[in-house]
Amino acid sequence: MPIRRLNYTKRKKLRRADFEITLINDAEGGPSFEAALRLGRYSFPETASVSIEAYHRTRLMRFDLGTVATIRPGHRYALTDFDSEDEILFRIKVTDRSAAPGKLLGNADRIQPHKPDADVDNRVALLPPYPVDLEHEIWRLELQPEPQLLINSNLPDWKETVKSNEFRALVYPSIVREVLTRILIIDRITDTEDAESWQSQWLGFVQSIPGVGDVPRSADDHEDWITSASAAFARRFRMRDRFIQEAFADEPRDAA
Amino acid sequence: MNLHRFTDTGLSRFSAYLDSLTTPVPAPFPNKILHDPSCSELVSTNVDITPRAFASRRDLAGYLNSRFTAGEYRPSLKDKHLWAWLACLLFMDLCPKDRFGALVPGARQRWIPDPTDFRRYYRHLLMGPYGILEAHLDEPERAMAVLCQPPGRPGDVVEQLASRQEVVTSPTLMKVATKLFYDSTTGKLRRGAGGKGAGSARRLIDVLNQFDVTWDLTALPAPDLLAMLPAEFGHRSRTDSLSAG
Repeated sequence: MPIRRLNYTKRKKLRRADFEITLINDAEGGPSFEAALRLGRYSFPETASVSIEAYHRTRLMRFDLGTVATIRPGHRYALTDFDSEDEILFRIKVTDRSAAPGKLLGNADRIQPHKPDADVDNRVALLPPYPVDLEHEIWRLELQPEPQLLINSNLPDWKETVKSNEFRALVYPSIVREVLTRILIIDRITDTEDAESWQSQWLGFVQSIPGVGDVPRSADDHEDWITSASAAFARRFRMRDRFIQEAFADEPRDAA
Repeated sequence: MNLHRFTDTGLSRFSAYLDSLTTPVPAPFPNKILHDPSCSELVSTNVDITPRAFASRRDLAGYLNSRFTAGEYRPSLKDKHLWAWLACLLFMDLCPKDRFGALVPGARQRWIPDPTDFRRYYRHLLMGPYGILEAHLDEPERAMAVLCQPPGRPGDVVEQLASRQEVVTSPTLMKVATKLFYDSTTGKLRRGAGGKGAGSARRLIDVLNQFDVTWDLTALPAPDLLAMLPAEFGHRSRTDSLSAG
C-alpha cells in the first residue's frame, strides 16, 4: 500500500496551464527545448530559483533558469546527453535560495513536451496509450506510477487499434474494474478531492457516470460498487452495441 | 569478439532458448546465433568484447565502458538488439545456477531489455549497471550501493534504488545511499540494507518520498541530507566522513 505523502510546507503543484515545454530538433544542432513559464499566480519570492530537469532512464540534465524575477523566455537549452528527443520527460522545480536552501516551493513532474507544430493539450489523460514491444500480448495495463495502457507497438496500426470500437468494448470495462480494484481494494484510497492524484481523478470520473453514485464508506461494499461501476461504464458507452456493430459488420444480425 | 547486434531472427532464437531453460529439457546454448549472419549483424570492428567472469556490476559496467570508449562507440540505451546480443555473449558467465548446476535465468528483462518499458529497463543485467555507471562517470564510487553486487544477482537494494529514476540519477542521493548501505572495507552491502526493516533501502525510499515533497533533494548537499535522516539508518554512529557536494 503506498504511503501518503504529507505536504506540511504547502509546496505548490504547478498547473499544466502555466507552463509549456517545447521540443525542437534542429538537424544541425540536435535536440533542444524552450520553456515558457507563467508563475505569477503562485506568489513565489522573486529570489526563488527555477530549474528544469530533462530525464530519460539514467540520463538526466539539469538546467538553471535563474530566479523567478529573471527567467528569460525564448532561451533554447541543448539536450546534448540524450540519444534522441523521444521519450524525454521534464520536471520543473522552484526552490528557496534564502533561509532554507533547497526547500521546494513549487514543482511539476513527468511533463511531456510538445512539438512546435502540435496543439498544446492541457487535458489530463486518464489512460494514455503507450506503444511498447509486448511480443505476443496485444495490450497490458500498468498501474505504477499511474495507469497506463500499453499497446503492442508491432501491430500494423496501434493507434487505430486503440481507437477501434471493438478494442474499446473488449478492453475498457475490464480496465475500469482493474483500476478501481487497485484503488479501493489494494491501496484503500477513497479520497476524491485531490486533483493531482490519479486515484482521485479516476474515482471522480467513475462517480460521474450515471447510475454509479459515490464510493461507499464501508470497505465491505467496495467490491459490489466496483462491479456495478464497471457495468455502468459499459452501459454508458454502449459497449455491446459498438462491439456488435464493428465485429459483425458484414454478417446478418439477429435481433438483439 | 567484435560487437554485433541481433537481427529479429537472432533475438527470437535467443528468446526461445531462454524459454527452454524453464522446461524439463532445456536447449543447449545457441552459440551460433552470436555470429551467424542470419542472427547477428556486425556493429563495430573497433569494439571487442571478451566473455569472462566479473566480480561485481561495477566491474562489468567498467569493462563495457572501457571497450566502448576504446572503440569510440557510444551505445544507445534504446538498442534492444545490441544489449540482448551482449547479454547472450556473456550469458554463461552471468547466469546464476541452482544447487544442481542448472541455469536459472530469472525474468526475461534481465537478458532482453524492453527499452520502451520505463519501469523495468534497469533490470537488464548489462544495460542496467552500464547506464548507472554512465550517469556517475565523474565519480563511480558514489554509486557503489547499486554497483557492488554480483552481476547475475542484483538484489533488493538495486531493485529499490535503480527503479526510481530521480534517485539513481542523483549524485546526492546515490552518495547518501552508498554511505548508508555500502561497506567499502568488504566491498559488499551492509547487513540490513535489503529487506523491509528499519534502515533498509526500502525505508530510505519511503523517507525520501516524504522529503521530496518539501526539498529539492538533488540540490541538497549530501551531508545536509544525511543529517536529516532519522536515526534508524544508523549513520550517526559511523566515524567515516562524507565530503560535501
